[in-house]
Amino acid sequence: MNKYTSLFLISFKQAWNKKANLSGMLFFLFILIFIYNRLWETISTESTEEGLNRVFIWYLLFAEMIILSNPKIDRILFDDIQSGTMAYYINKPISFFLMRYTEALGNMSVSFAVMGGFGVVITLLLTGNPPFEIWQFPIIFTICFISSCINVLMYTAVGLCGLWLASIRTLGMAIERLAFILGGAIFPLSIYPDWFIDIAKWTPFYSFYYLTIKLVYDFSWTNLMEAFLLNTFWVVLMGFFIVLTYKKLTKRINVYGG
Amino acid sequence: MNNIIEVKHLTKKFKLIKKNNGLKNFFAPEYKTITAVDKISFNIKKGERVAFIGPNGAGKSTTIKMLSSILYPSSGNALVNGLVPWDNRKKLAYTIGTVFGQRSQLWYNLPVQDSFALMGKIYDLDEIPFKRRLSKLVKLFEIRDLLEHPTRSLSLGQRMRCEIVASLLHKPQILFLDEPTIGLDVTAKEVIRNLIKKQAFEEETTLLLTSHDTDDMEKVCERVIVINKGKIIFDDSISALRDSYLNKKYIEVTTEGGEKIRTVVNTKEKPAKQAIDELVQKYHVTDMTIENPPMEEIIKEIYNRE
Repeated sequence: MNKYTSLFLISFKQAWNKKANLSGMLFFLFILIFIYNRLWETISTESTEEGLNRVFIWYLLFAEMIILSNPKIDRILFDDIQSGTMAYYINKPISFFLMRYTEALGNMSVSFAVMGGFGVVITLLLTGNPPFEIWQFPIIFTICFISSCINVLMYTAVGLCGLWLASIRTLGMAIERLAFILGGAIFPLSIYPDWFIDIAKWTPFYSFYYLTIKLVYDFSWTNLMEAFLLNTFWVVLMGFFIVLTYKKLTKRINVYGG
Repeated sequence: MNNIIEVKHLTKKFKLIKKNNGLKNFFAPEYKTITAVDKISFNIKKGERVAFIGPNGAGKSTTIKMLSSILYPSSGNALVNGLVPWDNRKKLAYTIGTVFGQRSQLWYNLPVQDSFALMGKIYDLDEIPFKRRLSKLVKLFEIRDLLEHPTRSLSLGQRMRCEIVASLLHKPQILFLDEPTIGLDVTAKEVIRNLIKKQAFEEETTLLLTSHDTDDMEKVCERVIVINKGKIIFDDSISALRDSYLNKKYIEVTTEGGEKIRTVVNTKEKPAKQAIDELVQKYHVTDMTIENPPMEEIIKEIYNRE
């Protein structure tokens, strides 16, 4: 077995064993879905559009699965950089960056899968049938999982900014808020005015979150392809940033020792 | 015997921003250069156990970091196992092991055995040889009871034993130990020293051990390099250092009345036993400690003789 596969599996096993963490997360997800369901139920009764409540709650579930499954990799990486821990790993035959990213993926996968299972049951009970066909579910689930991997990658990039910043908490929080607003992680962007959507389209949050989660209520191969292509573009761009930052970071460690 | 480590005029300078310049620092920072390691040269033969000692800030860790490919030098050359460390980081990684006393390479929340399994994967070890190797090291370092515990729950001494095992899993030819006994109590120090020595002896591992504790070098190594302010000031056998500079013993006795009496004995002139007998006869001794001279004093002595 490959070293990264082993890291992924051990991290997966560790996350699975943290039952209290998982229970807390599921409790939070339940509260969130319950409250928003009541909110949208109220709005739906005043709306002419049928099933608005059902659409938005399923949308919210997948959005939260992506957002909540992020294992705070930005803070872990930042601490590694600031404490100098990274320096002591760079003389091992493994990429420190990929090591941390793989561990984070293992962690995220557990949260994503557990929230997926629990969330689908709760949402089914609260709202009834989903707004997508059953055969579309594995595709939407997989696409959202990929989006979650990209989400972790984005926070990895935030963590690497520890090279220049004394604290990344503010940056991490800003990114999170932007994901909520520009990525439509709470409300679908379709409810916002057009000028706002036009701005959001120029940011990676639009494709990382909105375009992917939109498949929940507007599934089509065209939308799927659009999400795929735009996400690929932003991932490549982010990849460049990560590679350059990581190289700069290792160079600094080579000169100053971490 | 061939040299496994060759160091020639190795220098490391750090460029640091001068502080307390206020706003000026932001626009046009002023730098000062600190020479941590200053043109040091030495060779180490295969299987040799060498102590690299000196006070804090002497340049010990910086040298180890350069030889283990973490740091790039400012100038000079080094060959470790025939490789230039900073040009062959990955290749070198498979032939060296590193233990940094103040850092952990084990996963904090993982059971020790999972950390070992990961280390095995990182070093691309095959399943069966890995298990055989681990089983041997677990027995040698007496850590069977610790395997299922997460690293965070281990005492410092237990953790250090596991750290050393982790660094030996891929059977490195050279083991760099940076302050492996730092923070340990006397008993734990003794255990670690004995285990390091036993392992190095059994597998002919070349050891480069840094410490500011002279007991570490006396009990583990056969050769000592003393470094101070980035320069090597002594490079000879332990016995040469002992004869020349470690012949003083500090004996402190506590009397029945609680009074502490401290005396320095030159063992060349008077055996320690005789000095202790005299103290015991003279006072009602309730407690006694015998120590080597501190590192700073040895260095002062070396400078004085020069």
